[in-house]
Amino acid sequence: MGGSTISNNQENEVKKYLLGQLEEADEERLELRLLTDPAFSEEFDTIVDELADEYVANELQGEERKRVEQHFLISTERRNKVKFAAELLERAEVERGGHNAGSEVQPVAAHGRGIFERMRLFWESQSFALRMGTAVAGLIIVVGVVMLLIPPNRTAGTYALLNLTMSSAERSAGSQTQSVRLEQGSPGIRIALSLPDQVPQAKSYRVELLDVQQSSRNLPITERTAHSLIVTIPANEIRRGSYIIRLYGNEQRIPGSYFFNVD
Amino acid sequence: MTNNKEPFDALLEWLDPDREKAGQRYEVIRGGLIRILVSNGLSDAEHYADEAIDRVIKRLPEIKETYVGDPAKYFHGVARNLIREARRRKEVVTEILPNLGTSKSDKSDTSECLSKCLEQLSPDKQEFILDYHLYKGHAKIEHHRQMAGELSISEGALRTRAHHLRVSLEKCVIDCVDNYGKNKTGVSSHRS
Repeated sequence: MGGSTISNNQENEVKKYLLGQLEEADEERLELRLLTDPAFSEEFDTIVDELADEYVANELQGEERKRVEQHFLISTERRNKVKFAAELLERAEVERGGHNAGSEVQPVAAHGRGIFERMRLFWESQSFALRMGTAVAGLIIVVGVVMLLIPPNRTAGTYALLNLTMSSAERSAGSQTQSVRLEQGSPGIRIALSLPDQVPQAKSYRVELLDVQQSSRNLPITERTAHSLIVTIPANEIRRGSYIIRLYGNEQRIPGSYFFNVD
Repeated sequence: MTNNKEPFDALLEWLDPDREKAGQRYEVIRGGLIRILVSNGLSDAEHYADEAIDRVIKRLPEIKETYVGDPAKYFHGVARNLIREARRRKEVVTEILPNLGTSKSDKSDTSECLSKCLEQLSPDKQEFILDYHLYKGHAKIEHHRQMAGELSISEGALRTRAHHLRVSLEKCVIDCVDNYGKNKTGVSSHRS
């Protein structure tokens, strides 16, 4: 049994002929081929059937659909072809598409196709809008399930931790300065600041962070004990570099600084 | 067809001195005429195709010795005249959306006939023809590619195989629907 004997261009030309879109000279050339070339005639018939299927399956829209109705379907023979195509496609859908559980005909899997393959083909046959809508809905469900499964304190353990002791120096002491590395996905740095022993407890503390450009901002205190303050810096608010922390008690600067580097 | 034997023999001889080849050429020309006439909106195209052949047969004694070129071209000219005449007589519907005539009884007859004709096919052919027509759009292309792979044939060969089976199935259904009005049990004897 042979395969296709005409090229895509010739196939397009046949479609144009069937839709009344060919120039007269091209039309004559095509018709002469129909009178002389049996292989071409067979291809012609195949294209006729395919066009009928596309019309029945609503694969043709707008002008193309209108042309089919005005040119392709003007003869009784073609209208009968479309009726047959509609019946055949509907039967295939009922007996092969899984809508008729009582069918004696085995499903497509008889050709060795698995359930996932059939699902994929079914998925691909749906409209773009339906596929997009289903994909978005699926994504929302997955995100929701993941958020429900993750315990709320799970991220706390992934903070980079630093324990800093106040230095009387005003500048970093090089190798003695602690460094912290922010791993990818870490939510930030949690810093425990030891309070100097000789300083009396203040009612309130303020923690100031300075970078190398001396721009400063206050850090929120997340925990306070008798001997330390804990501050957290979100990962998206800090970059690589050297930092200084200054401490204020009752809005009075406490002498000394905390130094650290972010690698 | 209304041709009597002698003029028809002359037609075959004009098509090709080899009788067998001439017969083949005749079938190709008649089939081509039907396709052309249907494509130009003539219903009952077989009748018009035979009319075209009759006209050629009648003109043959005059043109046989002098005509130069492929006889198919002459048939084409005659067919074009027939189409023009039919259009003048308004036998060709133009600019009107057709009524597809899918009434409930039409559909029921076609559906019942399709069931009967499918039953006459072997189970693997039933599976094949229904499988082939299952999907649309991109999924259809992918599905055909996989079917061809599973059958170890080219996609073109798969398409041709499906077409041959469909042609015989469609013929069976048309014959069955034709007989339905006369005899509700009438299905032409047919097995592909």
